[in-house]
Amino acid sequence: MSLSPASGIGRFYKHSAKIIRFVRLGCTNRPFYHIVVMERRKNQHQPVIEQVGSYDPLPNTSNERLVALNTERIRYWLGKGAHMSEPAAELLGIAGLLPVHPRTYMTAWRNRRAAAAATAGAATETTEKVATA
Amino acid sequence: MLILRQLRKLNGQQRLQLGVEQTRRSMADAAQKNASFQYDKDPQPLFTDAETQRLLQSMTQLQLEKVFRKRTVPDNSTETKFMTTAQLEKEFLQTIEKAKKLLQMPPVVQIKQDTEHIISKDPALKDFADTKYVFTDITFGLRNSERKIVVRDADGTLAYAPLETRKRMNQLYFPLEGRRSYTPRMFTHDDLLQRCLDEHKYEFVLDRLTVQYEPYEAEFHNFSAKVFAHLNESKEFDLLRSTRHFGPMAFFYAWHRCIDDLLYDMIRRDYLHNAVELISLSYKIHQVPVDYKPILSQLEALKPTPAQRALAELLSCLKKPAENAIEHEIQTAIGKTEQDFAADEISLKFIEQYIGSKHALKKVQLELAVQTLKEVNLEKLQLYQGLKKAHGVQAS
Amino acid sequence: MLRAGCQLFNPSTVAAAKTGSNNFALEFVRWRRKPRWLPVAKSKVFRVPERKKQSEEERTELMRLHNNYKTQLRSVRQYLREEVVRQQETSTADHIVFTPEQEEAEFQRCLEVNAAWNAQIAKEREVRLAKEREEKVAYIQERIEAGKLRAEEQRERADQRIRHEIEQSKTFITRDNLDAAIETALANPVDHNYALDLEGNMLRGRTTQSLTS
Repeated sequence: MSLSPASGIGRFYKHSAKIIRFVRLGCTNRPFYHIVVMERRKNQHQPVIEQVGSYDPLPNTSNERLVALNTERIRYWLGKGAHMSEPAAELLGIAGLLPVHPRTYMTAWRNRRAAAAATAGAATETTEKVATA
Repeated sequence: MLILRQLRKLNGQQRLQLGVEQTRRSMADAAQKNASFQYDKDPQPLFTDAETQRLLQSMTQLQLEKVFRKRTVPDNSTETKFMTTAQLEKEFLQTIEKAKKLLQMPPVVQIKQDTEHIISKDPALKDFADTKYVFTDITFGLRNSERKIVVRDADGTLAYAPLETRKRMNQLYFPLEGRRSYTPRMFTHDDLLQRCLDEHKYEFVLDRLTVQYEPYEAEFHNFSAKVFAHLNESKEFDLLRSTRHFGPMAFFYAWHRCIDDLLYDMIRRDYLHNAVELISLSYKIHQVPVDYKPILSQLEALKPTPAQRALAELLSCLKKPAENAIEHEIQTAIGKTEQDFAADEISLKFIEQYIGSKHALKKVQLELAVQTLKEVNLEKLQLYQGLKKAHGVQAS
Repeated sequence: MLRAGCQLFNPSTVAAAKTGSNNFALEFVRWRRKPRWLPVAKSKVFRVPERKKQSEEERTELMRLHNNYKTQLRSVRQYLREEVVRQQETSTADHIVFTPEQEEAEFQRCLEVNAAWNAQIAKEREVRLAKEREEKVAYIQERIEAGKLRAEEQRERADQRIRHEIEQSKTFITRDNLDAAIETALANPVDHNYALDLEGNMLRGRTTQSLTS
């Protein structure tokens, strides 16, 4: 399967529903996403209208996840009424381009709660150990 | 890193307290080894000043065979063409323009400090992910400097990226040709750099430095200071002459008050007008109350600019023998014209004045060089006049 | 966290999609699953998938956040929509905006330019056509001259031949002088035989007298 170019070869109707979403590229165990604009009804591996960014979910050597966004085109397509997939909306929220998505907040508080539970568990374990000794 | 900076600051303060004399001496001999001198204020306005640029360009000179020498690049091929004289003259002009472009100096600017600029702080987002997110705006047609790059930390802070990250992201998404995404080993291993310097590969190091680092980075300043200090000790200034790094080098020496070795080299090679320009540059930088401008304008009237000289050299192969062919022949045999002798006289006076002043450090050496040059010049002048008389050429 | 949006597909649809409706001997093992018509696996028959519990406070909090988010996004979208409209109105990226007068002036200018071009080309064409006409006249003239010359030569050649024939006809043997001719022939027999000696002399005649003698 050859890659479609970033400028896009996807054909689309003028009034069809467009969506900003991820396309999973990369390979097994190594995800890499293109952030693209395409017709909503289409499958992710069909030709896209336009690529507007990329997202590398695996942290690099300096422990960063890299995202590239073509903000000018994202603004244009959002202004044209394009939808957003939920992960894409989350990412744009984190980038500060749009309001932060509720799901991000949810993940944050769940992570915090899990971390608190883990530390509490560890503390009780140590106290128990101390008590038994 | 912080401790280093503190130390440097302390050093600077000490240096201020020591007084000018002592500072200069320490600069001249010992301090060049540690290569830690920085520009204490922004050198950019002085460097980009039109007069300074003209002085530096004139000092750099324009030797065409050096500018268009063979380089360590994949393609060094040349093209051979048949041309009419008019076409050839046009081509010569274009060649000079190209050479000027190749000799553009990398700017000397202040080190840019990293400023933290927080866009938003959201404590509710704490721990939303285990790593940072770096967002790069890849909108078409933006310059690297105006591209927005922001970082969302794991604790939910959204801030503009620090300079180091900016550079990395720019290089990743919009790679510059020749710049590596990792630091070349030359700049991480001191012994490798030292080996390059010991082999006098100054131009190679500086070229690589210019490609790898931006002029406002601390590394650029440190490494170039190191190279220039080493160069000042080895005194191989001719290696950099007629390259793009000669101007910044001269500016560096003038700024740090250690021009004497370069001056000695210029006098020895009979580039007296360059020596005058160097001294005036140092006067200009340190605001010494010596009026150098009239002398510079006199010299300018007598001496052609490097570009004019190079063009004349190119055009000389086209010229037919004119009526004053003998005079021309005498001039080429001796290598100097009457104007040159006049210019030399003016510049020698100025240089001696400098050597006599308190700004010169290696007075004996310089005086000796000037004396030798004077004798040689006198001999040449006598020979010139004798030849002229013998051929019956009228003094113009 | 961010989901990849990875769904399970039917193998056939996936294959069709990935190859872009070009089933060129590609087989994907990545999204393989059991065909629809097979029954539930024996080990999974009595498995009841557990629903994740959501606490009441989390639900209300999420509801609040979603409401906020939707409101904010709506206003952002409104802003962006206006921005796009503004952009389209003010930008001259792919077209040039003119007032009617300017358009008329532009049209007139185009007409003038076109007329000027036409005039210039007409001038050039006239010159060219005149030259071509002249050339053609000269060519035809030349051909006519040449034709005349050729006819003249032909007639000349014919006359000469006739004259030659008339000249020849004086020695013809006719019915009147046949007997005389026979007699002269019998009286003067001609022998064409000859012999060569070693010096190359030609000795004509064998029995009768030779031609030369």
